[in-house]
Order: sequence, then structure tokens, then C-alpha cells
Amino acid sequence: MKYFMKMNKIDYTALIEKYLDGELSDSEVLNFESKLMTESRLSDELILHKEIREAISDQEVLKLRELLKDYSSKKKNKTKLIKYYIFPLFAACSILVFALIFSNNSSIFSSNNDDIYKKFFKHVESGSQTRGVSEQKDNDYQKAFNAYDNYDFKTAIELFQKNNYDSENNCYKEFFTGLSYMELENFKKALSHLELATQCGQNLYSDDVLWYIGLCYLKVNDKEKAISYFKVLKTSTSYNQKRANEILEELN
Amino acid sequence: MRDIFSEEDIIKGIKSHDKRIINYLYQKYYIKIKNYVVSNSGTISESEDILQDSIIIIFRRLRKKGFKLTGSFDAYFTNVYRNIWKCHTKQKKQHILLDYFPEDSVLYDNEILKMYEQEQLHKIIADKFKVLEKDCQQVLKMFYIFNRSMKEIAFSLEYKNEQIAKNKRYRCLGYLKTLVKSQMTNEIFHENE
Repeated sequence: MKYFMKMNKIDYTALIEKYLDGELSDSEVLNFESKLMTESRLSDELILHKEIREAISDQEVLKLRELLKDYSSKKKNKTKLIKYYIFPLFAACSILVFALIFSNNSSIFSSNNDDIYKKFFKHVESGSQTRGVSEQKDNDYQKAFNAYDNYDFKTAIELFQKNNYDSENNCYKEFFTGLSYMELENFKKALSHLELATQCGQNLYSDDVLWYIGLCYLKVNDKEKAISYFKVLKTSTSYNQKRANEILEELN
Repeated sequence: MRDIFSEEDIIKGIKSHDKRIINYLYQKYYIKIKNYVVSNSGTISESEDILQDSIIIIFRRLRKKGFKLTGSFDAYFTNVYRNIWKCHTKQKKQHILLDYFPEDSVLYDNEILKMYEQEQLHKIIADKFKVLEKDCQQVLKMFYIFNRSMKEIAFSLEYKNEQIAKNKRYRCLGYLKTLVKSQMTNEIFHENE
């Protein structure tokens, strides 16, 4: 009864919590439940308490909600960047952010190859959104990039492999075919195309080719070869140097 | 867009919060939802919310024991986002004729509508929880998430005794309730403006 007397002040919090925690005596429970039948505010409050308990304790939904929020804000930022900056600048910025984030959190990740791969593999934007269609002589080539950017990797591979192009475009073709196979988790095929792309000499993606070959070797459990590629990048002056250092630290 | 994931992959991916599947769902449904919402007097920002709420509600349903998808995932997702949009407009008290587009047959699903309303409340609770002082968050988290006894909480957080810790918990919870209620009142007020 003592709880109901205090209810004139109308703070049901303690009473409802005691009820939910099973701390009320039998007679107090009876009183509480009969009051629930007649007092709609108390029953509303009880519902709110139950919802609060569920909302706070449902960690799976909380994580998913955060993930979606995070994804959505990243997506918005990405769209702006693609719109206003060319690919190399975009790549350099994301690597910098990537490096900063992971340099502070390296201890929370386990160190098996799959986990390291997941941590370091990032989808590469082809930047085809910024290419003018009129600049593309070959329609298949442009369609292949569009398919790649739409995450339709199977179509992208088919279209990339349909034709041969001049040397520079052939290099990009092999690089993005390799990346498409990586996205489809066919690492042996990915390696064969990425290795073709290494034969092109210096271009926009030449350092990235080495980086992704290293990641493929990690995924096929050839750690030694993976390390040898990352070591090459470690000594280079490219923007991959920092992430090569980080992955080598993890692998050691 | 050609499907690169099987329905089984998608369901598994939603259950495990797989970022590739989240990305895929965004790629596949964002434009569709945006077109649907904007054609029905909504905004682009609302379409983003509808997409996120759809994924969460599908996740909640998938983890329910005994839930089985009867048709295709695509048909299911479409029905979920359309029901959510219907509920959202109802909440906004907008009188939109959803059958403006004759092809839009929305299979009315009461459970989705209930889950959507619950999700709106849970979002408010989660947002307001973040506004609480750190010590309040700690007490509530330890009790409701980690199921620690009040005795343990009193010891860990250095309260003099269990009763003091309990009073702290009630005060924090009371404050959280006040914040949630005031947000809900504000939303109703704005919707009626």
C-alpha cells in the first residue's frame, strides 16, 4: 500500500521497476495489478518501462541501427566527393581516413588472415561516374565500369573481357577484372588478372595493383608472398606506404 | 541490376549485419523507395529513413522463431517498405491516396505496422539514452544489458550501498522517461501543426 500512497505525487518509476524486478510482496502485486485495470496512466507507464528495457537491451538492433546510420552518412559524403573530386584525390583521402581509424584501433582486431583481409580490403570506386560517356570510344568498356560501380561484378567481368583495348585501357581492364573477382571471392582468378595488370608499368593504379595482389595472396594463405608485395609498397613513396606498414605490423 | 546474392545470402547477411548485404540492399532499393516516396508526397530524406526502418523491421522478423518467407525476398521487401510508408504518412496525418498509382497494391500487414511504431519509439529511447550523463548510462547499462545485480553495481561504481545504487537507477530511468515523453509530445505537436 505504501507505494500507492506515494503515487499521488505520480512518480511510478520505482514501483513499476520493483514490480518488473519481482520485488513486490504478493499483496503489493495484487494491489498493483488491480490498479493497472483502473488506472490507464499506470498501464501506459508500465508499457513504457517494458519498451525502455527492450530498447536498451536489444544490442543487435542497436548495432544494426548504428551501422545503417553510419552507412548512410558515409554514402552521402562519398557521393559529394565523387561529384567534386577526381579519383586519385578521393583515393588518397579515404586511405588517410582508413589509416587514422585503424591506427587507433588495431588491438581490437584478431590477427588471422581472413580478419586482416576484411579489415584492409576496401571496394575501389572506378570513378566511372566522373567519366563523360562521350570520352569513351568503346561502349562495352563504359558499360563494364558502370556494371562494376553497380556491384554487378559478373557482368563487369564479362564486358571487360569481351574486347582488347590499347595498352593503358587494357591495364585498367585487367585491374578492375581482378577487383571484380576479389569481390566475388574468387582469388585465384583475381590473381591471374592482377598479375597481368602489373605488366603495364607505371600508371594511375600501379601501386594499387600490388596492394590487391598482396591481399589476394593473404586470402589464399600464401602469407610469405603477401608480405613480399607489402614490403615493396612499404619502401615506395606511394599513398599505399602507410597501409602497407600497418598490414605488415598486423602480419608480424 | 542483376542479383549477385541469392535470397539465402541476403537473409543470412541481414541476420549477421553483413556490410556487403547492407550495401547491396541500398544499391537495389534506394532508388525504388525514393521514387515511391517522392511520388507519394514524401521527401528524399524520408525515403532514406524508410529504407533503414525496412531493413531493421525485416531483421526483427527474420530473427523471430518460426518465421518463413513465403514469396520472393524482393516482393517481401517491397511490401515492407510500402506498409511502412503507409504507416508513416498515417502518423503524419497526411491524407495521401496511395492508390494513386494503380499498380501499387499494398498488402496490408498489421504486424509490420506495429513493428514500425515500436521501432520509432525505440529510436527515440536510444537517442535519449545517449543524452544521459555517463554515470546514468553506466548504471542502466550494467543492469539492463549486462544483467548485473544492484549489489554488484553498487560495488563496481562505488556507491555506498545497494539502495543508493537502486535510487540512482530509478532517478536515471525517470529522467530518461521524461526525455522520451517530451520528444513524443513534441513530435505529435509538430505533426498536428
